[in-house]
Amino acid sequence: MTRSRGAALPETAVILGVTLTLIFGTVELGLIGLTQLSSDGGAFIAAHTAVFGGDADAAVTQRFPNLAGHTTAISVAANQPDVTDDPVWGNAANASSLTNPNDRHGGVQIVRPTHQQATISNSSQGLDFNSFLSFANAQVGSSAIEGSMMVSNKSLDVYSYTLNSSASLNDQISYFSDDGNAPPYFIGFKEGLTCTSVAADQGCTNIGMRAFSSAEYLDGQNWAQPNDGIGSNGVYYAMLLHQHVYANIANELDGIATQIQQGFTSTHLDPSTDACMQAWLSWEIAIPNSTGWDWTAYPLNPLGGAGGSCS
Amino acid sequence: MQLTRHSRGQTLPLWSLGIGLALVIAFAAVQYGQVLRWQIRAQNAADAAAAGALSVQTQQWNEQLAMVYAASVEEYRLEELLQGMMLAANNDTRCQAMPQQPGSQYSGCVGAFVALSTAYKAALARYTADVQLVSRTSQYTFANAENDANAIIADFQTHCGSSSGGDCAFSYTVTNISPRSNGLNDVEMSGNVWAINDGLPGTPKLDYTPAQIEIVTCAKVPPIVPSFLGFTPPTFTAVGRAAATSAMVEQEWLDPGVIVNPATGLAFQPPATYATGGQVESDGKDWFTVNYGGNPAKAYASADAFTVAFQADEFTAVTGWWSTIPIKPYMGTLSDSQYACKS
Repeated sequence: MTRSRGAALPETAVILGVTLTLIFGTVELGLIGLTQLSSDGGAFIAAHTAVFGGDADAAVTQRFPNLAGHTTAISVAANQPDVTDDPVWGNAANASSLTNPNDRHGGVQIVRPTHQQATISNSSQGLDFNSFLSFANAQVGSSAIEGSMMVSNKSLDVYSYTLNSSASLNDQISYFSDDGNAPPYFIGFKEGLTCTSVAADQGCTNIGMRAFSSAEYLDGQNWAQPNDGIGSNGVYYAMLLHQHVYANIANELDGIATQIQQGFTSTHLDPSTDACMQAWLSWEIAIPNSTGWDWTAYPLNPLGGAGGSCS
Repeated sequence: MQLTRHSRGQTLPLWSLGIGLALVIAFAAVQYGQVLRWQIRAQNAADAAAAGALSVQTQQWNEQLAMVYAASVEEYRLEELLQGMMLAANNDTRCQAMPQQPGSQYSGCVGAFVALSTAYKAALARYTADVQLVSRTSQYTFANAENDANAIIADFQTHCGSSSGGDCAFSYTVTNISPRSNGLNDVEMSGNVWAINDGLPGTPKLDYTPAQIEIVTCAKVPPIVPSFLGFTPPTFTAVGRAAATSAMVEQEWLDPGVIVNPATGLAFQPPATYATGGQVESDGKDWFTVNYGGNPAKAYASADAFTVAFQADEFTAVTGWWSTIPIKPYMGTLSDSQYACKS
């Protein structure tokens, strides 16, 4: 009994020390774990907020106030998007046509996800009893990446960048401030030397440089048509009209072939007398070689006279 | 000695207190992690649903624009063939010396006319089919887009847990589908200029207005910590909100007569000669060959523009491909009654 009594104090001291260490250790691990979880969630929120141009710091501290009370650094960096493999625009055979600013034959602008990377580091979240016992400098850190949809090679690559070049990937703008933030559009731009009059046994008697009012367009001139499709007052009504005119011309061809086998005694496909050729010619717009940038100067006329008697 | 005797008895309460405290903290950490995990899961579910919901509108527009391009190529061919036939039908000097054409018993302009008219009829048949397909693919209305988006979200719910479904843990609610009309730019074309953003607002009808959609995912999540000693941890609500809109994610300007198709090693639309041996103009124009050409354009980065001197035949197409991109949720503060929440 005497020995047992005498051992109680050191036993208690040992047990108490171990117990307190375990308790404080558990508490400390719990606090660090909580901070790590907050940090993980905060990085997710920060990256998500940054993608939409919001204040990442405010978003994190609003949702995770426990982070705000510590030494927390929140940083968001926009890093280059992944490169885009493109068999056409990245093809070496097309490089000159796409990147020579004096000899361009095409271009592409692409929305690619810039990597918005949010990083949170926190260096002070543990218990702190000053010099007696401190776990205050444990470090936690988290990171998250979200894609921010940005336009690279803007304005159909007016800068003549090579696809996936650093210059193209660094020079990005928001889709919503880009010119191409437009409704669905299609531009079919056609011009060339055109025969506009003929005479029997003489062939073409007048040639000029003309733009062609193709029926295939979708832009400010037909977006608001009341009906969809190719019917009357439809967005693509010009296509139905043009098809009718071409089909009616096709109906003339066998007869013309038969006649010219006998000799070229009369004119054929003559815009001055053939209603269908008149309809076709009404779609042609004379343009000079150099014209300036006024898009109202030479308005296209894809409906012409609505086909006249040829429709 | 009294103190020592009492000290022995304090280890049990100390252990009990320590273990209890440790358990509370551990449970709190686990529960906190559970809440965060579910919130992130809810957000990811909402992001995925929003991204997919407008896919029918974007795919319909892609099909439509692809068909318009095909028709445009064919109409250019018809236009060029027609001019060749004008010359041939009137015995132009440019075709008088042409040899007998393949598949024809005639030479000279008659032979050229027969060859060209055959090609013209074939092109007309293709053009007619293209026009019909454009008509078919251009009937998609905004109401269709709304219905399809709602149906897709309903499918997400119905087929949850499968490759075509969403996350079964959540209810999916479409809180809004509406046209995204603010800030759209105008596109115009004339005989000499095409402009994507001419400084005016784009004013399409509803059927050609990109849609935007906002989705809420919600689940009431039971606590991971069991009830103990009469204490029941509360259920929490995991909510995700996401929005997306249709956008022209790739916009292309293509001279198909110049740009090489990697599948063939030739231009997408190489010159097609329908009657050989004709007299060629000094600038290279062959009236019996359909040449999609392409004049060299000059890029002016400072003016955000290209210029072209029109010297030869050219067919240029400018269009693009649609998909959805995420946008910031735009419906402001939502009340609980505006969305369902899975229990």
